Amino acid sequence: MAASANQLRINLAINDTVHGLDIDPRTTLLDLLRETLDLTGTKKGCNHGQCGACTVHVNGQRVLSCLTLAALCDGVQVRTIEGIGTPDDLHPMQDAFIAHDGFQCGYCTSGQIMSALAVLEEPWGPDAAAIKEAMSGNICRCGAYPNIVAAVQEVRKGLEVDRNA
Amino acid sequence: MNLESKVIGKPVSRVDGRLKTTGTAQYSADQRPSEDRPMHAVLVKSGIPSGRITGFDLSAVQGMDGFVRFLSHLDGALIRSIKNPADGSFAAGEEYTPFESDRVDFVGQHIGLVVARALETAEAAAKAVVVKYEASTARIAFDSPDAEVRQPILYNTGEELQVSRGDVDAALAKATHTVQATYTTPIEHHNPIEPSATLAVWDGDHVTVYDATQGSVNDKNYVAFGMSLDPENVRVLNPFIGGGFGCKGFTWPHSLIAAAAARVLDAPVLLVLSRKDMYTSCGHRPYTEQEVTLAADTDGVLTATRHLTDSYRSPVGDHVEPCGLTTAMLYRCDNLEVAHNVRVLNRPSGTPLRSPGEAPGTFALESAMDELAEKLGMDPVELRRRNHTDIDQRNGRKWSSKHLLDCYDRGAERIGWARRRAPGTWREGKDLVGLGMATACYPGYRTPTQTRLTLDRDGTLHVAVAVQDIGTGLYTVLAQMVADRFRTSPDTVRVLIGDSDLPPGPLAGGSMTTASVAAAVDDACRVLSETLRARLVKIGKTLGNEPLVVDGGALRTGALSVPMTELIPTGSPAIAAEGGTNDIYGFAGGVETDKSFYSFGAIFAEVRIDRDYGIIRVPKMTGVFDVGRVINAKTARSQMLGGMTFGIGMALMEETFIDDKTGRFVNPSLGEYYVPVNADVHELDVEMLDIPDYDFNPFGARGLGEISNVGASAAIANAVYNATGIRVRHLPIRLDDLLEGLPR
Ligand code: FES
Ligand code: FES
Repeated sequence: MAASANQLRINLAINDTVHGLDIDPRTTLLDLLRETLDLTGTKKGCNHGQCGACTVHVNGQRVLSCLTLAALCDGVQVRTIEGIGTPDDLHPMQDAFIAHDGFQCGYCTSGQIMSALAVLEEPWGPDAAAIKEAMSGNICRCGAYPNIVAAVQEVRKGLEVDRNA
Repeated sequence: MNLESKVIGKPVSRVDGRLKTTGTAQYSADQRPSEDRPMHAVLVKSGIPSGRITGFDLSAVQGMDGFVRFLSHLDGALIRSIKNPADGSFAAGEEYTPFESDRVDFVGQHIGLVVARALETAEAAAKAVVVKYEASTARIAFDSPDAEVRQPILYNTGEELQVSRGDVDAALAKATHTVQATYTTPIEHHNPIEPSATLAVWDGDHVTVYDATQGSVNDKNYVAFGMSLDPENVRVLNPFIGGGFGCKGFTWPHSLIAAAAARVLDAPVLLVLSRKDMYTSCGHRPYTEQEVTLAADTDGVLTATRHLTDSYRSPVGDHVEPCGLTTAMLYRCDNLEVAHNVRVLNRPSGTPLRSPGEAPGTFALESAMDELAEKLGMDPVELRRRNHTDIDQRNGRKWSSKHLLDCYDRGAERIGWARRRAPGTWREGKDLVGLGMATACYPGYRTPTQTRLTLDRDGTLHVAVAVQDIGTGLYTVLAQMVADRFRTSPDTVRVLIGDSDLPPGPLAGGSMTTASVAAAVDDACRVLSETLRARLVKIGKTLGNEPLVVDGGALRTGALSVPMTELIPTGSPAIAAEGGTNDIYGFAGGVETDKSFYSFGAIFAEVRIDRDYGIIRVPKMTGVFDVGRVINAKTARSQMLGGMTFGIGMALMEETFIDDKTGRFVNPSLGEYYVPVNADVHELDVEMLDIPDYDFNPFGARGLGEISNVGASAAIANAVYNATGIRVRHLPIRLDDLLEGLPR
């Protein structure tokens, strides 16, 4: 799309690829990912910061991409579910979600996994109650919560084991 | 080794798990089928509950950069007048035709569509369209004095909604123990995390619709009707659906609107409903008031049962919340009356929501049973046992397979029912603790289903049927069923569903897909086996009676092993077979049988209530279910977790408020309509009895999507009573219902 008077130029890295884009100033990061770049793994469940389906990482921290204006993302590093693993090369968290059946319809799952990966780096206590709290911004209407907690805990324990090794 | 036991009933991980965990599963709004980027559409909805549209002011919209078109009833006949057809070829959520006239019947009705090149423009333009109305009198409040009241005769399954047997009044006159109370349940919304979305792409006279629907075949026939097309010219694709819970079951006007816009503009159009749109565009569970009267003799044997349900419908949608249907069949009782009234109100339309009727109905019935047990001084489980029956009370038939008494026993043991104390007397620290239980049940349904099976040269089996996996695990379950019949691994089966061009199957509702495909897959496997045996004989092999085994690159039977490459020479097509069944169970006009089919279960809940603040927590729920043979232990358990979580939401959180003056829903967002989040859900303990019901289908499975939600809210309400001595007869139960009366 040609740049028009009311468009803005931003440069940002998405899954390690740098993009220079002319954007509508109203565009959210979520719509930029989905509608401009066809990175449709990130989902829109509410567009109001209430469900967590749109969770991505910006500069290593989890954010709700529906509440993030793309115009404010100049110079940032974004990671989406497409930058975590592929069907043939799963990240351990993706493996754990499959093993524990941490989803049913799968629509909240990209957001759950992006949140779960961020949680690994955040200062939460070791028990399941801490994970429930940490993951409560990601609604799963299918009700996979116990399985999500099991998946996250397995990966966390795996990481601890690795660190000790 | 018995290979069969390696497949059916095993906790096989989802075959679509790699797609769903990597963001590569494509839901409707993710599809990018053509080079042309779709245009974005946003709905304009009515802001008044009743009246006429007198005009649209588009002056703020017309100059917007990238604005393409506004469509409304002023654009002529875009959509053919919808009537739910007598042949049942489709069922629409609402019997009204969008953009047909200037008439408005409820707030949120689709009255216009903005199409723009960019989503941002479409959203801004939809907000900037000014609609002018001439309002007329609306009936919104539940007790509107002049609202029309109807007594519907049949539910959409064909079941009678007004039932009477014996003499209830005479039995009540003689009764020694009676309870009578009115229970209410609120408006609830499905709120799947994927909003409904439709992408319509025309190619001449043919339209492909990527639609978030629980029923591709139903949707195809609806779109074909509305677009005046032969159904063959419509293809609905729904390989992945982000949950539905009923709101994507019947088809809704937005699918037609998107298809019509794409036709008019000769370009692909994508219409994604907003979360707010979802509250008025695809149904809700209506508010109910239920008066339940139970009478029993001193032994606790029911002598009279009356269950009167009052609810409403919209002017254009005929859903009735059938709360009393469970009551008519569950407990032995010769004197019974079940009735359903609906008022016609200017509200958005209702529709089935996970266990329609059963979930709110058992809240009332199973709360009343708890009250009766209390009055009799009897253990609530014992009261249910004394009224247990092996006969379907509606028709005198025997149940095909009912092990409800075992569910009570197992559940009581797993929750530690023996710990239960008198109401309001169990304290642990600052907590009041209580236990409650309820019976769960859900009908067994089956509908006609056809299936195509193919064996190709590399030994892969392909199974194709127009059904959909809304999160239930159907992809995996189909692979397991086919693998079972050919004694192979589910890895060697490719599953093709989510496409209305495939052999027709049921919509994902009524917990009926697994049982329906079970019969069809079994038949297709039989046909393919016969075809393969004939092929083996034709190429000169001698066969015994041993079953066929698809074993990597070879087909084996007994000692014989034939390479697939010999069975299917180079250049020959794969070997295909079709099978299926036209049998119907559970619906009117179904198979004549001397059995009745239902799933049963028992739900137990422990609650802990903060004595100072009244905060209610559910540290543990146990569900024990008699749902026939479980095909996949992992995905089945997940469905039960999901249903019990729905039950927690229904019991303690979920409610949509309507403003009786304006007809608007007050809290149409996930920030103000509370659903359970991770921290709300604690131990959910599930056991399946796993007893096959081969009278129902050759795999012995009954449905299990809805039953785990049935009874859950009553079990929690009864536990709240046991903890506090406070009987709350409405949902959701909130801390302010308890604060004043809490035992100190
Ligand atoms: S889509 Fe962003 S939080 Fe729901
Ligand atoms: S898997 Fe369906 S919403 Fe979480």
